[in-house]
Amino acid sequence: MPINFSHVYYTYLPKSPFEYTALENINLGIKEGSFTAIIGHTGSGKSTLVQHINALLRPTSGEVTVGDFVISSSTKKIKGLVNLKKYAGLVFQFPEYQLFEETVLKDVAFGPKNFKENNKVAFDKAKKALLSVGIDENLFDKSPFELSGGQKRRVAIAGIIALEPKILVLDEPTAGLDPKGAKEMMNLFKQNNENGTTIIMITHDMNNVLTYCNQVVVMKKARVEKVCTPIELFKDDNILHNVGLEEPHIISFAKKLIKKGLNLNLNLIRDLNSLVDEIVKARKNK
Amino acid sequence: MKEIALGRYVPYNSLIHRLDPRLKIVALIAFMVMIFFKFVSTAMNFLIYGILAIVIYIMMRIAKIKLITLFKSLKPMWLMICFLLIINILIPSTGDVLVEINGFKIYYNAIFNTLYIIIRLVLMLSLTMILTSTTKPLDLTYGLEWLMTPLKLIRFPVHEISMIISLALRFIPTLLEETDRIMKAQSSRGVDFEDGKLKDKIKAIISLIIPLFISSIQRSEELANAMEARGYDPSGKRTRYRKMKWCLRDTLSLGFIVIILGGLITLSITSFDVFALLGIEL
Ligand SMILES: Nc1ncnc2c1ncn2[C@@H]1O[C@H](COP(=O)(O)OP(=O)(O)OP(=O)(O)O)[C@@H](O)[C@H]1O
Ligand SMILES: [Mg+2]
Repeated sequence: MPINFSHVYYTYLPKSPFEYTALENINLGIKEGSFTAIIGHTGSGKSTLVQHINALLRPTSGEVTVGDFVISSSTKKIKGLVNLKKYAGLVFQFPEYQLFEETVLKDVAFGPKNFKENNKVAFDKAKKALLSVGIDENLFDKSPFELSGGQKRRVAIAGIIALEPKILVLDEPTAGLDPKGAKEMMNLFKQNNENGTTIIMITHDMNNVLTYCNQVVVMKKARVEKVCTPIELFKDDNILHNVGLEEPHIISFAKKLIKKGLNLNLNLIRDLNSLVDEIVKARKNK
Repeated sequence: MKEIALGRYVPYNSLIHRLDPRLKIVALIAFMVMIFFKFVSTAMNFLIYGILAIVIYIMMRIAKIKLITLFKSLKPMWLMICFLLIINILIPSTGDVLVEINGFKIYYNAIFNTLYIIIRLVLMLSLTMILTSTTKPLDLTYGLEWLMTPLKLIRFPVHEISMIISLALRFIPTLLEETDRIMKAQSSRGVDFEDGKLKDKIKAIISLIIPLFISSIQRSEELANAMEARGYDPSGKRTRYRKMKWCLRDTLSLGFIVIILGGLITLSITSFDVFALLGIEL
């Protein structure tokens, strides 16, 4: 299910003194199976943008297509809107606030049940999702409110993963998690991506963008500033400066080495291992 | 969701925005009292309502409130109005009969009484809307606190009450935002808040209410801790950064209100009837 934005504008509270245009002329394509990062300053419209993907927000003008679904301001009732929500799962910023059931397992099964799965299937899916996010079986019957912050986050994410969406949209999923937990989460998303799920992730962590994503959308002041691969972005000092982004640690390290005369190929560097490989290669060739 | 934000403060800079909050509260009370005055005849009642409506409409224009916002907030009241009409018709009344169906009499009075209630409701709503959309919640509580100061003499906890009111007002927008967010999150999990069977509806509401309650309780706990950490003491004496200042325009407005109020009281007490005076039969 490819996603396409064409000439999308979105205005909050139109025709009131609080009117605010959060998206301006967005044109954007996201291919099926990609792992796309959306980055940009706070208030640049990232969350607003992704809420169009499962029609939580309708464009004020313009059109969003997700596979066969067309979301525009004119269509009053979108056909099969409920199905769209199943295809495109959205995990909000700080999703732990959406927990409400008596037990962890019931809470995660809530989603599948809403999409008319029978009890057994719903609970099976919930168990699978919980295990995949690293929640132990002995926590299944606890109240979600007794869990730690990080555990709550995992349960909330499992609540969407249990829907088995074709598109998984994540709004800052690792914000506030411990480094190890964040890495586990990222690996989980990567695994989902390798199994064919399209992942769209809002993040402020450039290291994750470099390591996990194959496309990056840079937003600035309600507009899309640039769409490219992570390495194209981090190689371009102009845009980094323009949007005010920090480069990943690995890239600044590699750039410093290059300045000192080491012949590294930035295009091949994605994480610590590939950096080490490049350094070793460069030293051998010397 | 957006419509709930009705009556929320709108930052224009009209004359009414600049008036002193104390004056605005007093004026609201005065107008509310006026709305409930009774005059000699039905025609007189409607005439005064008409005049009040025009005055209130002019105030709304000054405050830059659009009529459409008022009607939007009236929408949920249709049911109540119909209900009122039915009750008024069923209650036996006196006076002239409008129609008679199978011996069941519908009186003019029943219709008029319902109309009175509707008019009063609309006028009260407009007045409240003028107050809340032109006055910052914080100014409103300062005004209230000032007006309630005499109650301190009878040991009424004026400061505490106004602190509670201002906190409550402060958190209304936050709560609305939170509601919006949780609704979006739950509808991403397949909850349908718009239609569906009763059972699904109940489940939908539960999935909204519980997280809302929990985050509110958490928030109030955090707030209480933060206040205590900064040494908040309800009985402490405090000064204010921004002082309310009474200006000439406030005095003039107060005069205007006193004149109207006095006029209406006189009309009511003296059983004045323009229509009789002019010899108009109704
Ligand atoms: N419900 C709303 N009503 C009015 N304005 C809003 C609303 N939600 C967001 N905005 C405004 O729209 C703009 C974009 O908001 P958005 O949440 O999309 O930003 P963001 O890029 O996700 O920021 P962050 O990185 O802080 O999450 C902000 O300036 C915000 O003030
Ligand atoms: Mg955001």
